Amino acid sequence: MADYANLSRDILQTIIKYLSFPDYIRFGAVCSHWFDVSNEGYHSPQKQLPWLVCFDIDFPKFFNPSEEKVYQIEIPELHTHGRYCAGSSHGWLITIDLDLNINLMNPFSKAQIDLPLLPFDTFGVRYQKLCELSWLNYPKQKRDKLIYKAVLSADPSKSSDYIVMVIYFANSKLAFWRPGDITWIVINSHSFVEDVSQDFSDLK
Amino acid sequence: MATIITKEQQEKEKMVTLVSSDSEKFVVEQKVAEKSHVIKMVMNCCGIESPIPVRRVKGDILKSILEYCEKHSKGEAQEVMEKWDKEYMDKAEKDLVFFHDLMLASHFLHIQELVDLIAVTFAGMLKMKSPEEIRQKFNINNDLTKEQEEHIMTTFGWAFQPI
Repeated sequence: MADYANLSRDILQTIIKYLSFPDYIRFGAVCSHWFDVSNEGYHSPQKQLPWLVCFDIDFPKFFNPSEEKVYQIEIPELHTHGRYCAGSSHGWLITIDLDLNINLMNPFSKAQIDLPLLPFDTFGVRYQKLCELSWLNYPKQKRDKLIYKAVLSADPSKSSDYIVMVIYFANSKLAFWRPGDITWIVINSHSFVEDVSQDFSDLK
Repeated sequence: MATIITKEQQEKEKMVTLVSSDSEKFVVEQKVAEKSHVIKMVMNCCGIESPIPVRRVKGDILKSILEYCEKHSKGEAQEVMEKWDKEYMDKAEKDLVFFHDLMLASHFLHIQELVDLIAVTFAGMLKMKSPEEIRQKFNINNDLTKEQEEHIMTTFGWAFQPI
């Protein structure tokens, strides 16, 4: 009889390369040997379709287009002080709470990386004033509208050589942060910034 | 006296005999046998005059593997090869004992293209299957420890929502 349970590590590792993330998790739950092999290294699969993140009141929902399936992933850390997802890239969420504290959060490993507060200069004061005068003057609105878009240049699980870049204050300011920086570096611009893409790795 | 080598002899010199674990003999062209990195190394160091024993591979498996190597040494168009590979795998995966032995042999003989083809096929067989379905299909016992099970469920419980 064919002994699939005890296939060599080499063979199993080759198979793992071709599994999607949820298939890889279920693979590790088949038997003890497969569990050990699946826990040996970081899962770096072949290219696969990115998941869509949808923020609901209770759980974030993740849609995996290759399976046409929605996963509800419970992340208790997200419920502390009303965290909201301002963006996602390389498998990480960029989240912001009601006090406008920003962090990076990996929904699968639950790892978190705290980032400094975004600097409020004269423009920030204007934003605050604008908020006070309008419907934005609710903590939730302020939180949701502060960051327009946020992206990462690389996966923080794999190396500390990455950059976080955000467009904030609606869409008029561009700022970036690298691991080890105490503050954000703001790029002053008089025009509105419309978009930022993940492909800015050459900027270093 | 000068030896005259006929074309036929030249062709013949490029042939190599492989012997399976159950003593079945296969005579194939050298370029076909070369698809296996292991056999290539043996041929490089020992020549191709005497038969090469492939001790860990049985006749039916070696036959199928050589069929693959022969097809892949012809340099045909990619679409033709993809179609052929698919048919080859469709046939192989129907018999899980055969599929298992083919997987082991392709690794042992180090035929990288075939190793990858089989891994992709295997991954396809696991796609969207629950651990229990996988165990049943491949006749695997659930010997996870309590700690392992707990670790999986607390960290990745979401992956086990009904598919």
